[in-house]
Amino acid sequence: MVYDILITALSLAGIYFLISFGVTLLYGVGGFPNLAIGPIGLTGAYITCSALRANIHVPGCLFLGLGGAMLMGVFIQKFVVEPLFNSVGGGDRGRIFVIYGTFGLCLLVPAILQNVFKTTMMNVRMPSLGAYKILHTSITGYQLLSIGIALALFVVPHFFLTRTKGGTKVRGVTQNAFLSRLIGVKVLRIYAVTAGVAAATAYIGALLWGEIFSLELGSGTMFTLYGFMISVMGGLGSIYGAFLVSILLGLSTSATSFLIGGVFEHIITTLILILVLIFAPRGLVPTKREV
Amino acid sequence: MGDFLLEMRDLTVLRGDVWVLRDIDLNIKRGEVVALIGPNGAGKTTLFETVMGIHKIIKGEIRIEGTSIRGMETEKISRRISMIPQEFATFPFLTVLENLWISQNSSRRKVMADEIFKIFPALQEKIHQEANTLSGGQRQMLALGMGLVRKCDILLLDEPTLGLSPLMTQRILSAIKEISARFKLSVLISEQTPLVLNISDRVYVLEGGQIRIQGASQELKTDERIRKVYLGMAV
Amino acid sequence: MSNRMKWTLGILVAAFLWLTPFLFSDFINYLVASLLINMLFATATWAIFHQAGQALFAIAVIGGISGYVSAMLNETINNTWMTMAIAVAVSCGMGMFFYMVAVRVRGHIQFATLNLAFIFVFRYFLVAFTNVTKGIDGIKVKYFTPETLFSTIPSRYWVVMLITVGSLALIYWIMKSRFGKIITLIGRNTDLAASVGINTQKYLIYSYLIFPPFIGLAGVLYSHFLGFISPDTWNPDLSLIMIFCSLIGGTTLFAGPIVGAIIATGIPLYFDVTAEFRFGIVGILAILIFVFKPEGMAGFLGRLFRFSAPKITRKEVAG
Repeated sequence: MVYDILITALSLAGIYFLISFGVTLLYGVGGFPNLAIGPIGLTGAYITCSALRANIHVPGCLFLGLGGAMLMGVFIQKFVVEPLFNSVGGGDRGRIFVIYGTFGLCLLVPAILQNVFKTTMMNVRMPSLGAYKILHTSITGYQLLSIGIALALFVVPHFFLTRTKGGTKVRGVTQNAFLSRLIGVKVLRIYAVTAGVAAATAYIGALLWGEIFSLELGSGTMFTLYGFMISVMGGLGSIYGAFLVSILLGLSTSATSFLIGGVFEHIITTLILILVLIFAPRGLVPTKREV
Repeated sequence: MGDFLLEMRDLTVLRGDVWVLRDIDLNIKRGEVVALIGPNGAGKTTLFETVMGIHKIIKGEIRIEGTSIRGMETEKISRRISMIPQEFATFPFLTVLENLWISQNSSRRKVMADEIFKIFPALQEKIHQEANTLSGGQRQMLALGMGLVRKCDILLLDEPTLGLSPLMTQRILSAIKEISARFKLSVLISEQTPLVLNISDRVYVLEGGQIRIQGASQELKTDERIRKVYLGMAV
Repeated sequence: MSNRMKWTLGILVAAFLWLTPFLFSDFINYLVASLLINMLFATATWAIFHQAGQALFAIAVIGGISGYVSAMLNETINNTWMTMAIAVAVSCGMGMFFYMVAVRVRGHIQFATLNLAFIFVFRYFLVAFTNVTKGIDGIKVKYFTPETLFSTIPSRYWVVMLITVGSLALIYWIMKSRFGKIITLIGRNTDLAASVGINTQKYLIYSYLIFPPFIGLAGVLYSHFLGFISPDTWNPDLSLIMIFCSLIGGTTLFAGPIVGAIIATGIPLYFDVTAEFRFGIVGILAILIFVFKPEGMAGFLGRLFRFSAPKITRKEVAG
């Protein structure tokens, strides 16, 4: 049973990390608390599922969903987030207004999705990736995939940000966006690329969630809220913190699911998150956000 | 418009309902150090930011070697002009090397071999230290270094000695003079201290968004108007 | 706005509220009562969220707990007025709890996130402890006592109308008082308030003691008026809609959340718009109004009819 709990925990941690990665990235790079990231991922997943239903070949479905999510992410960044943020001169007030605006989208997008796709629930019917035996426990291909992608998302950004010039420029933007512009860094382009990457990871997270559990209209808001809670509790903008909290969350969800089950797993999981934030208000790995 | 490296003619900027700059005529020749002085709120920082394309120009022109840069993006302007802002002029959690590296369009090895370390040897000792662990003077040296490694023709320095001790102020200003002479850079420097008149060729006095006085620094240094109103020195 | 106009408007509104049970159908009575409760929710939220500057998103928790406490106590104590008073006292205690949490975490985003987490936990509790809360099916709640007197919608309408109008008047009086002005200053600029000698923590404690009970009262009225309470109502959407009411109506005016509640909740209710579209409409309205009319609809209409002061910019709205 321990192995069951561990494997389930790791795959859940992977999905939680994928879902929170977008929130963390956007806040870390630009200081934008974009709460629409969940609905963006959900929209991409809905596009993919509809395309699968229409018997379009799988790579095409994935391309459509990913492209749709990324386009939507960049569009919202350029036409909702940045104008709202800059309209009150940025800073904390700008962030509050980004929260308002993007949560407004959280309310709006499900209504649009229901009207367009004519359904409240969507079954993700991806081709099977098989099942494997690890540590005397069976694990599906998609659970393995969620762990693999999450690990890659943890390792690759770390390497990119600390070893490459582009990554160092991104770190510069997080610390001083104004100075970055003055030295010729295309700050707005970095924000747009970040929004695209965040949307892509939210899409993958939503798709994997739908494959392992299910997708419905309210899932977008749930992804956003979980993503935000994980990001805040990890240390707003800290990828390392979000990774740590995702593992903690995966372990608690998995353990309580096996040992207690039902809705209590959600209660205990959320209570753990609350305790983490009360005892470590700046998060487990606080970030250094300067200007 | 003449053979100036940087020229502003009738430059006018509006922010909200306020005329922050009005009919500014200012020019800099190649290799010249020009001082811009004035009280707080005169518009010095706004002028610099306007040159860098941050603020919208309502009227007038800015030209580099005759080519207009009005409406150009900041990123493009930064290839010809390097601006060191008044505050937050470094990336605090990047090392000295990383700060210089991302300012320059080349490899880390080339940065380490740059001449900037001959002018500011203290930076070489602290090359792997984060910028926020440096002293105020060292941070200002780093900021100047970041401006230099970009290899631009024009440097805009917005109060580079703000908050520094008199000794460090003297050293920074001397370094600026040396940099201008050695690299044939044109420098526009805004300052509150009268010491800036010792290193500059010409001076403009900005007040209420308008140029009130201009001329050679050596002549205006003893001008009563400058001494009394702008430099706070007893008459 | 001249005094004469103010009196005329006041008389018209009072007449409408008093005559609704006599002139209109049960549906309109139900609609107006629901709207009044939403106005109370929105105004109390406006006071603590936009005026005192506290990111108290857990409005749904405060309203929901109060509603459930009163509903469950009513099973044993057959006196709605007493259970309502107890429930309001409980919401006062919840206010203090959230104050202590706010002091502990010291950051708007962290506090807002904790609030959202509490909303989730609250919903999960309601669904999990079915033997107490009846889970997702909800609880049938007694109407106001004596039930024989308040079995009809118009009779319950009177109770709701009198209590909500009285509460709104009380909130208005509080916000117009010296206390209200200080709270607004603290909300706009806490450091400035402290620098002029205001004991900001004392006033914030008072805000958390005074305004959450109005939210709890709205929750209690809602459950007893409808005669039913379930977890479906008490979710993050409710909190956000109440916050958005002020953005739609205007955050700097007392009339802002009231006008916002009419637009955000009253109109969709009247046209029987489904929940998904209702939320979608509120979302898009909030964004559009914030972008094009940052002073909100109350401010805009006020200027249009020369009721209020000159145009407020988005930066002033932000404080």
